[in-house]
Amino acid sequence: MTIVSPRLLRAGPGLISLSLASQLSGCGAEPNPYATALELLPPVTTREGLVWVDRGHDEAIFVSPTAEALEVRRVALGDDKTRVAWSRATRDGGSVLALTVPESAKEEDTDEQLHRFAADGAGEPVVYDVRAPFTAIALSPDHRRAVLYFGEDGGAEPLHNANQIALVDLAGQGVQNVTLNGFGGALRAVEFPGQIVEGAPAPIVIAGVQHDIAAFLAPSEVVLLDMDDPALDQVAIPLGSDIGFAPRTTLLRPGNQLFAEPALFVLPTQGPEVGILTLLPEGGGAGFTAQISLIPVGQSASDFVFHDSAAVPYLITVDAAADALVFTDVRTQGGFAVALESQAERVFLRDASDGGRQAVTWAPGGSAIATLDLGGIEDSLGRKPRQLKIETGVDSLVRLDNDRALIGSGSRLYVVDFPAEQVTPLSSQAPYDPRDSALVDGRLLLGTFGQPWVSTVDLTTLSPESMLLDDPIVSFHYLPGPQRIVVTHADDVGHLTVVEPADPSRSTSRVHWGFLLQGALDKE
Amino acid sequence: MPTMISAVLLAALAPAATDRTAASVEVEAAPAAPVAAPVAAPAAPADDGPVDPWSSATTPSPAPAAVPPPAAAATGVVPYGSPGPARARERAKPPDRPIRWRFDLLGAFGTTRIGDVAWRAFDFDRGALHVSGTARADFRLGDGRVFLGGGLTYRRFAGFGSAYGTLQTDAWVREPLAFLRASVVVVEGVDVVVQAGGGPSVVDLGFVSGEFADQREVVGMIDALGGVALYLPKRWLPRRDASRMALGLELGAGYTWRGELDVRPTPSTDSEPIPTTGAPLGDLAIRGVAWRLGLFLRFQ
Repeated sequence: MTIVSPRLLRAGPGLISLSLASQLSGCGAEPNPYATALELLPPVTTREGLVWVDRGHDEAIFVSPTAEALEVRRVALGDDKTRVAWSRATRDGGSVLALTVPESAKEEDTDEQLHRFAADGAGEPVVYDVRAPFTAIALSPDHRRAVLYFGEDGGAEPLHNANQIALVDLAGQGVQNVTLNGFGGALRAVEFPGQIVEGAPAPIVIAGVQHDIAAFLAPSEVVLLDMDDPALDQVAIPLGSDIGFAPRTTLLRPGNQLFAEPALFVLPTQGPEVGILTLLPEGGGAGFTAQISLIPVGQSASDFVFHDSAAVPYLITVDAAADALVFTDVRTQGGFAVALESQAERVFLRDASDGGRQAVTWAPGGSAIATLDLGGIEDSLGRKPRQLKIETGVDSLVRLDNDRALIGSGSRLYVVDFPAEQVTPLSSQAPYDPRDSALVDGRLLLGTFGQPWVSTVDLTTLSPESMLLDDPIVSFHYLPGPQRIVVTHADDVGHLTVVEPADPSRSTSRVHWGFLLQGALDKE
Repeated sequence: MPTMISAVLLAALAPAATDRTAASVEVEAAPAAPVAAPVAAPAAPADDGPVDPWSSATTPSPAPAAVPPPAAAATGVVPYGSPGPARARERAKPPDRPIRWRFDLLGAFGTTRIGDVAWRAFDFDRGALHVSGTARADFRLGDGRVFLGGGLTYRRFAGFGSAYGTLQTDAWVREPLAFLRASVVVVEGVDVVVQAGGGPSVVDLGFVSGEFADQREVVGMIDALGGVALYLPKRWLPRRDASRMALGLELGAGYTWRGELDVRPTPSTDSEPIPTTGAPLGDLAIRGVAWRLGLFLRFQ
């Protein structure tokens, strides 16, 4: 305990002596309820607001902006014997997940538990016994499940099962603790390759049986697990450690009339081949198995998508070494390459204005993005990529919607309009991070760390406006529930500005301070 | 307790003790002279017993004795260094002044032990050390031992603390206090006192984290205490019954009630700020048992 505070020292020697006398009277012996420091994890964003986890006080603090005020709700999370390892919002922003682990190794009777709270903190949380202090989580795009696993760092456990996972039912209260039956590789990533559309279940149909397949990536192998199967059928596929095929990501193509069996494409961390796992029914049961093949896709595959033309199911890969797109017929494994004449590492597809599909490629550090219409791709005459110059180079790219993308490049932002093939530069005094952005009703809102501005770009007129804040930004959040932009500022007691996205101005904005200590004096 | 109250009432209603033998005349002898002139000095008081400090009777001074005129009186000149005629001076004691009123200037310090745990966010302990200055007066009620009066006090105290390791706080309380007071003279030099009063309490709260914030509230305050005042009896003072000043100590304890504060600080802002709101941090009640120890200078 500090006997004399520095501020008291400044107050004068008279007060110091009097304070000492007071201290010597023994009044300070009882514990101070305000002595424990806040220990805040970074805020997570839900649909309704922001949630801070205070490890110091075993609380989750839910902060939701209303028309004129902030609604603050404190919810107990854990106790003295536990510690919050991490917190995360679900993909739909409808829940907050937090994992509690024993405070120390001496707490032998304390189990690891995952807590799921409603977005506003109301009601009792759902608690899952997950049995291990997992360090990573993967959330399914269909919003139904979470998979907890040990990431590459493995946490602080003296010994842990690297292939232990917990399958959590986010719609209910179920949890399944599973160990993957692999070939010895330690789990590095979890993916849900069949779930392409956010929020929509995407069962994979294999011989008429639906499966919800998760892919577990380990060095030189992939384990597929049917999460809908009560027996949790697993299929482990070795990819050949002798050839150095280390899976980086996966992509699942559902079966259709062009290629009946679902195919799981596996992109390696490096190398000229892509693995194709054709999913087939397991003989005599409702399970499935996989047939593997490796297909060459140029010199170095760095990204891929699949595309069905009128007659051919294509796998489209980016050959980063050749700056080309490689089209491979999934059935015959034959194909062709289209040179892009600009650097390419990443690819995505969009709907073109003529009703067809268009591939867009770009590369970090590149000076252009390329587009290629896929309508007549079988015809070599139709393979005409076009370039959109990015004068100062590409640092990062964020897709705003089907027709627009935002490119960060130093102190410039570029708004790319694909239908118009127009690139509009926006200059600023400091770099913007396009990831700190939100697209609301045709307006692009930007707020980058360290800057005191929230900027708005009307994507119809491309006219930018900036609103000066009273303090620099630490983090930028868009809350779709109350339809507010919230930017936080550096202050551990809570300091944020609520911005009206439809009319960002100083007069319509509100600053709130101290909300993380709201009601603190009413504690008994 | 009833016994004690009865004793206090009896003491209060009993007539004041009188000791008129305390009347005296002080004689100051002249410096020794080579030839001492005979001086008829009055007899010293036979008894130095208790003095009635609030006696209204004055003891007449004895008649002055005949003193032969000094030798130099003829010429009016006394040569320096030459042995002069003996001379004695007598100074009459000022008349006794009965105590009908008293006026005190009191400086005091003490502690209020604040019951609300929320105070710990503003100081490291619950004991808030306060200092005060008081001007008060009281008057004798009839010829008894009871004095009634009142006064004004200015009291202040402060707390310096932190909350949750991130918010530096301070609280300053400044309050003028008007009170009524009753004293019972148990024996001369020992009074039992009770007082009660109230006034506004001006509370300034300060908060420092990444931002500065403050709040000023004025709440009502009621203060009541009882205690004992110890002061120098007249007979211990150089001028005895004629003394007009005395020193004393006062020790008191009681309870101070202050209205509850709704703590909602206002963050400091630059000019033309975005509308800014401080969060309601909760309620604070700065009230509790208090004691004080003071030193007073009394005019009577």
